[in-house]
Amino acid sequence: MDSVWGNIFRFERDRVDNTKFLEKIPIFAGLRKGELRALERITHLRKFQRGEIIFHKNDPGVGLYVVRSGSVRIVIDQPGASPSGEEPILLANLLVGDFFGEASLPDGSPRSATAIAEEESELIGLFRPDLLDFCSRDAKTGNKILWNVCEVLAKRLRHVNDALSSRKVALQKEQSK
Amino acid sequence: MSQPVTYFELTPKNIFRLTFALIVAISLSLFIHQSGTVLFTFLKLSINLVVLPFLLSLVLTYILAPVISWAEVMGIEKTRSILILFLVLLCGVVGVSALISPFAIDQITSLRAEVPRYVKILIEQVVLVENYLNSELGLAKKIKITTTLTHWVEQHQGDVVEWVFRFIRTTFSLFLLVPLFTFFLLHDGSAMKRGILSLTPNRYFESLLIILHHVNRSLGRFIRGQFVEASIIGLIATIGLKLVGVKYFWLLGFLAGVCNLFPIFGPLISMILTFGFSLLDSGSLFFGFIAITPLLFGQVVDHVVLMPLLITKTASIHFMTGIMAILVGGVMAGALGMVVAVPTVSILKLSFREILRHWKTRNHVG
Repeated sequence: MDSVWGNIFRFERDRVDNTKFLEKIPIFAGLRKGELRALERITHLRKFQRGEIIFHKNDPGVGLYVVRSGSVRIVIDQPGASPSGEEPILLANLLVGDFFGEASLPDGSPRSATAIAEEESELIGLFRPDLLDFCSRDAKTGNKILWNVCEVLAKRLRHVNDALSSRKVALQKEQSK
Repeated sequence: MSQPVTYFELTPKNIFRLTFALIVAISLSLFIHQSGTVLFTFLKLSINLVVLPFLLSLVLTYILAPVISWAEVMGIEKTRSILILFLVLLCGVVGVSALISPFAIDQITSLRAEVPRYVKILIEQVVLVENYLNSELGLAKKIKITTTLTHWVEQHQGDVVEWVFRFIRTTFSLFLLVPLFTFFLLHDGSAMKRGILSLTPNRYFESLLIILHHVNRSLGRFIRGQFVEASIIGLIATIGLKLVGVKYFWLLGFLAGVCNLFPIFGPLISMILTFGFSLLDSGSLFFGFIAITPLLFGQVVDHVVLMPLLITKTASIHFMTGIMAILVGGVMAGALGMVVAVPTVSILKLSFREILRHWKTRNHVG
């Protein structure tokens, strides 16, 4: 098979693989095969080199990324650190199947941290403008995705609340000693 | 540790370099054009053959896209919905043409036959003015407007009618390419967008995605707004001119709609032409003024009702920019180039505005 046809068929195979991969991601849970195929058509597969910045903190939030291969570091600068100064604080190390940036999907708010490719990585991006168009065309599937996003955000909010509560309790205990 | 990934930096220095390179390229092209080589002809040909049909298809795609989206929501498959829409449009065009074309052709033929008579009346009036000026002012050197004007008119009297015919001929030749381009833009537009985005370096990907989204949305609103506005103005003018009793109401009504695409001077040109033809046809100055009342009414409706509803202020362009755009459009692609010049400049203005807005947000400026 020559390279042109090889590339065309590989493109189709990639799409099928992406659909199968997306099926396992919690944000796309409960979507049927046809819905997943429609969703796959609005996603973007991006390849990043080792050390390449995916986005910076405070960049306009455009959407979420799912790690398809490789790994991603989420970092923030030390408070008051100069840009070329101290090592940034590592918030999370994300592996295959993990996703990040979902908070910008509902409101397009600026990125709260910087994302860097830890190694050569492939990410699947789902972006706000495409999702908004998709929701206006296919409200039923769009609804399912948005509910899933809400669930994830609610879980993360609960987690942050719990962490904050336990910190406050610990602080109060220390102050009372 | 992380390796730095370097791409073309969008710094003011690089923007300056890029602008400089563009100016040099344009100057070189103009120099080559001045030297009379084939480059300009090639550019003009490619604009006529590819760019113009593509631009028209793009405009048509923006007008039709909401219908296809609606059909998709209704569960109709894309290819099928586009074909159905094309069929409906074809029937509509054929039906409307069958209804209108006999009158329109009659009016064009009549206009062609009447032009020499109008010219004769015009020259007679000029002779009167010339005689009055020469006798009243008693100048040593007599004013010879008639000789100059007659000479000019003899050379150009067929031009206006020929221009209209050439315009219609070109439009019909586009009838083959435009539907084809429109079909593919409607069918594969989103895939094309994804294809372009897939070639974009990661550094600019998110920015380009957002810019394309905003430009796309603003453009859609602008083009659909312009289309609806011009159609309503054309309709008001045609009905009004018919009611008032203007002879060439089909042609002048259509012209009023098309002219409305050009800011300020478009409606003015349409009024001058309507006034001129009505005056020449009836010989009454009063009727000339009566004839432009439907156009004035159309402008009131446009400014009070349509523009606030349909057209975004950000897309409007300055009078001088409009004139320059039309001149360049005329040189590059003739009559149709003149028609698409103002919308094209508005589109470019919208795009640059969105790019600048995004750049400011990204760099936290302003």
